[in-house]
Amino acid sequence: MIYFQNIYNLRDNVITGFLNTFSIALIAIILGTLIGIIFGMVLTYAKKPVQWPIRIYVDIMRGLPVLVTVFVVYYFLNSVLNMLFGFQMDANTSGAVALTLFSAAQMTELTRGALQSIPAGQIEAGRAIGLTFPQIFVKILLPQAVVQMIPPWINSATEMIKASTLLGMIGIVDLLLVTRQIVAKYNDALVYYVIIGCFYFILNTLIEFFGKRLSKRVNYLEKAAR
Amino acid sequence: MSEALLKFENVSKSYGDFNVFTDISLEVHEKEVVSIIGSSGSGKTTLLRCINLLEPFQAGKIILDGQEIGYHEVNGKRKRVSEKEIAKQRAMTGMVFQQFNLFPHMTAKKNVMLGLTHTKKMPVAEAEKLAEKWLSAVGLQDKMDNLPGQLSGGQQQRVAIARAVAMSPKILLFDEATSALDPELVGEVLNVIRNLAKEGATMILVTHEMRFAYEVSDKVIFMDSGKIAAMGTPKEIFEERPTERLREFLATFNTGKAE
Amino acid sequence: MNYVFNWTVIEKNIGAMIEALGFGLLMAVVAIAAGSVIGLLLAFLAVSKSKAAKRAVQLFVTIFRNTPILILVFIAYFGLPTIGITLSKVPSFVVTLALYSSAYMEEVFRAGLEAIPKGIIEAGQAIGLTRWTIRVTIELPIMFKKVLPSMGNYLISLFKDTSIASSITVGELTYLSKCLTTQTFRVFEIWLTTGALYVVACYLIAFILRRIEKRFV
Repeated sequence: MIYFQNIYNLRDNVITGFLNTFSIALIAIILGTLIGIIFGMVLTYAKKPVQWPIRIYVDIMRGLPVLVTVFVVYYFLNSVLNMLFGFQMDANTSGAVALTLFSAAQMTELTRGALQSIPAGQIEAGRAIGLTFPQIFVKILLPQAVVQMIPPWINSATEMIKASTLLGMIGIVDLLLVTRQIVAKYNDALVYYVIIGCFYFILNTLIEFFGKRLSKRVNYLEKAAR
Repeated sequence: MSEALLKFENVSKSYGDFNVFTDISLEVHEKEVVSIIGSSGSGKTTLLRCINLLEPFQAGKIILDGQEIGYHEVNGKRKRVSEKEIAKQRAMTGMVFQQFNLFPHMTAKKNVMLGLTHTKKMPVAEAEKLAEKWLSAVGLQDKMDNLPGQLSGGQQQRVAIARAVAMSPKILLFDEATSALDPELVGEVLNVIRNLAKEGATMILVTHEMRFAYEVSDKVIFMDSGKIAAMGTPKEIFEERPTERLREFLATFNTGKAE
Repeated sequence: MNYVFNWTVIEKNIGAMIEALGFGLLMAVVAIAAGSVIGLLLAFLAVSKSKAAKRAVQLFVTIFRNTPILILVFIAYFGLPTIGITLSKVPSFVVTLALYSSAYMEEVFRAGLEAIPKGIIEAGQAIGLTRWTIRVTIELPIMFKKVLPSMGNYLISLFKDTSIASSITVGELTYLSKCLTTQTFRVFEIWLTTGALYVVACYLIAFILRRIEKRFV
C-alpha cells in the first residue's frame, strides 16, 4: 500500500494535524456545552434585559456561516483585540474561539428549547411542595432536559468535528491541510481525499452510534428511576 | 330468491399464527342492510376491510355481483389480482372509516370529486355537479368549499359518506362510522345512514350502536372470536338472544330491545 | 491603538460584495432544487417495500451526512479529474452541494411521508385510486405542506454552506472578502461588513420565505 506508506512518511504532520483537529474540536464541544447551558438557562429564566445580549449573540451566530465565523474571529476580532489591548490570538486559538462561539450558540438554543418544553406547571408543583428554585432545577427540570438534549447534542458534536476541517483555511495544520500537503507531494488527489473522507465518515458514524446507545441508556435509566 | 349481491364462501384470515376469522360464509342481497356486532377483536372490522381489499385473506372467496374479487386462479394457484384490477374492484365498494380519513389538503367538494375524476374518469364539470348534489344530500350545501380542518367531526364524517356514495358503489361499508364522534354529533351521521337505507342502498355496518342496528338492519350478524356466532333478523338477535355469549355481549350495552 | 479606519475598500466594493452574496444564494437555490428532486426519489425508494433499496438509501444518506462538506468538495473538484471526470469549479461545487442536500432532503421527505396517517391512504385506495394517483394527488401535497418550513430553513443553511466554495476559488462573497483582505489588509472593515452582510441576508431570506409559506399553508 504505497498510499499508506506515503502518509506514514509525513507522520509528524499527520500527528500534528490530528492533535490540532481534535484538541480544537474537543475544546469547542466542552466549552460550548458549558457556556450554552448557562446561556440557555438565562434565556429561559432570567429577566428580559439580561437576556438581550445573549439573544443578540445567538441570533448573529445563526446568520453566520461557520467558515465566515472563523475568518471574522481570525481577522476582525483579532484586529479589535489589537486595537483595545494590543495583542492578537494565534491561528489555533482563533480557530478554537470561533468553533466555541459557534458551538455555544447552538447549545444555547438546545438548552433553551429543552427547558421551555417542560410544562411550567412543574415549577409551580415544585414550589407547592416547598422546594427552592435551585432544588427544582436540579431535581425536576435538569433530568428531563438532559434526556431531551442528548440526541441533538450528539448531532451538534459531529457538526463540530465536521466544522474543524475548515480550520485549515486560516492556516491551522489540521488533518485536511495535511492531506492537501500529501496531495501536493504525491498527487493522487482522489485517493487521499477519499481516505480522509472515510476517516471523518467513520468517526462521525461511530459518534452517532454511541450517541444513540447513550440516549437509549439514559432513557432507560430515566424510566427505571421513576 | 335472487342471486346474492355479496357472497363470502369459507373465507379465512390470519396474521401469522393468529386467526382473525375462519371459514366465514354469508350472503348479502341487494338493498339489504346488514349490521355486524361483536366485541372488539372479534374480527368484524377486518372482515369489512377484506371486502374493500384493504386486507389480504388466505382462503375462500369473496364474490361481489357475480365476480370473485381480490384473487384469481393462475395455473391452479390462488393469486392476488394486479394492483390495477384491485383498484377497479375497490371502486365497486364504498368505505366509510371510523376516523373519517378525509384528504386534509382538499375542500369537501374536492374530496368527493377526486375518485370521480381519477377512478371514473368523469369530466370535472360533471364530477363537480355530482359532488354538489351529494354534499347537499348530506346537508352540507354551505360547507362545500371548507377544508376538513374547518369542519366538525360529524360534518367530516358526512363528507366521507358523500365521498363514498358519489362513486355509486354496489355496496356501502361503514366501519364504526360514529365511534370517533362526540355523542352529540352521532345523531346527524346516523340520520344520513338511515336515509341511505330508506333509499335502498345495500350496506354493511360494523357498529356499536345497538339501538340503531335494531332499527335499521334487515339482518344482524354477531361475531365472536373469529366466527359468526349468531345471525338473524334484528328481532331474533336482540329479543330472542339465542346464545349465551350474545346475551353476555348485549348485557354490556344498556340496550338490546329497542327501549 | 494605531489602527486607522479606512472604509474606501468597502465603498468601492460593496456592489460587488452584494452581487457575490447573490451568487451564493443562486448556487444554494439551484442545489436545493436539484437536491429536492433527488431527495424525493430517494425518499420514495426508502419507503418502498424493497429492503435492498432501503439500505442503499440509508448508506447514501449516512455518507453524505457524516462526511465534512469541504472534503466532498475537494473529492469532486480535485479528486474526480484524476479519473477523468472534470467539471469546472462552479458546476463541480453546485453538484456536490446538490448531492449533499439530497441526503438531507431525503430524511425530511421520508419523515413527511411516514407522518401521513395510513387511513388517508386507505381512503384513497377505497375510492379506487391507483398507487401513483394516491402518491401524486394525496401524499405529495400533504407532505410538501408539512415540510415547507424545514425546506426553507435548509435553504438558509445551504446558503451559508456556499461560503465553502471559496476554498476552490468560486467567486462568492467569502472568496471575494479573502481576496480583498490580501489586497488591502483592511481586515476590520472587510470582515465586519462580510459578517453583517451574511447575517442580514439570512434574516431577509427567512422573512421572505415565511411570507411565501403563509401563502401556501
